[in-house]
Amino acid sequence: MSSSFKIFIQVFLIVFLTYFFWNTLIHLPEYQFISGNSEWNITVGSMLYLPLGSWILVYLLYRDRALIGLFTVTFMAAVYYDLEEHLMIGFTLINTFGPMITIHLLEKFHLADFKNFGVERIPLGHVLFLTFTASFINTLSKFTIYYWDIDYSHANSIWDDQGAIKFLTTYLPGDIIGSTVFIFIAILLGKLFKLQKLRVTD
Amino acid sequence: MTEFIRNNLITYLIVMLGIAFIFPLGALELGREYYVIAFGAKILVFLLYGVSILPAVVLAKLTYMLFISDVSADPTMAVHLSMISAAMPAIAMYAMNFTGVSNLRDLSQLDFRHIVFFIGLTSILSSLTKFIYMSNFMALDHQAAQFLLQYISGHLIGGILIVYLVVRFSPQILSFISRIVSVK
Repeated sequence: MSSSFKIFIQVFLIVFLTYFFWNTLIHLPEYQFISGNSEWNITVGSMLYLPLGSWILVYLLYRDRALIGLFTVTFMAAVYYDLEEHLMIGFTLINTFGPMITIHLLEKFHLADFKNFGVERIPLGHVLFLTFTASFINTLSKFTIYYWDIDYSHANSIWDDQGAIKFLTTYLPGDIIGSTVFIFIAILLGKLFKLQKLRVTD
Repeated sequence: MTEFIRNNLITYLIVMLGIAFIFPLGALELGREYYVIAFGAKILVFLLYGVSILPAVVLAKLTYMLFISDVSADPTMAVHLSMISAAMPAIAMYAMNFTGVSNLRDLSQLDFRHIVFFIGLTSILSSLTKFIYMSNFMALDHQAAQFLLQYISGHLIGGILIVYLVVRFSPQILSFISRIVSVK
């Protein structure tokens, strides 16, 4: 089996299982009680958006080689959530390229270097800053796509549009908390169970 | 203590100078775009003096809001907006120092790319918080994305332009000011 295919399978599994776990979590009555969300709504973000953490992790592990696997799962997720055509394309592209752009941005600006993630010790502060920046980029891009030219009469007929403020004040903290929690748990589990052995190398 | 007061006094004057551009810009019917230059001046003082000049920035913004802008009708709003405006660069600076991605305390060792990123982060934080706060008082939903992006790009251009001009074309003036006021 070629290394590219192994990477595709690993990326697919990491992101798919995160989506599955997160989707199960948000449908638990306890979670809905805490977050106050009774049902899924595109204008109300989850307060623990774990998938963003998984996108960042796969890019940190496999850099740009994670692209195809990540695109496949995020596109499947967009289909599953039955997004409208332009939102489906926009959100899939943001989900796929957002974390990659963030990592390249931090490296181009000489703020951090993630090339040796998992091989050499990467300061946790840099990873924390990466999750923060990725969350801002993810929220702002989705906000721009959704609110650029929205037809409210149409939107309200599909879902109960909660407005721009609800969108920002739920997506942003949800992205920050979710990605940070995911990344730090992943690093901890990776160290505890020595999961770096599973990493595909050429 | 004297240094703290002196730094704050100079900061107040620099930020007010940035805000004062509202008058010539107003004459050119570009008064609403004053924040581009005011934001650049604000970033500059944070880079020069660190977060210790926070009171002067709040005071300068408050002076503008109470005596120049139309927010004066609502003093509570003016106080809140001044605090948001002054706190965001401080939060961005603290976040970058805390996570160890950059050391914005030491200007002599600083990479200009770090400054550009700092300006970008501050513009996003500043625009987002102001947008969320302002939306409590006016309906912005229908132009939400355009409003936010215009604000972010304005901040970004202003911040980079002013800092670049000062660093590139006035190094002598900058070092002279730094020596006189003994920044660090």
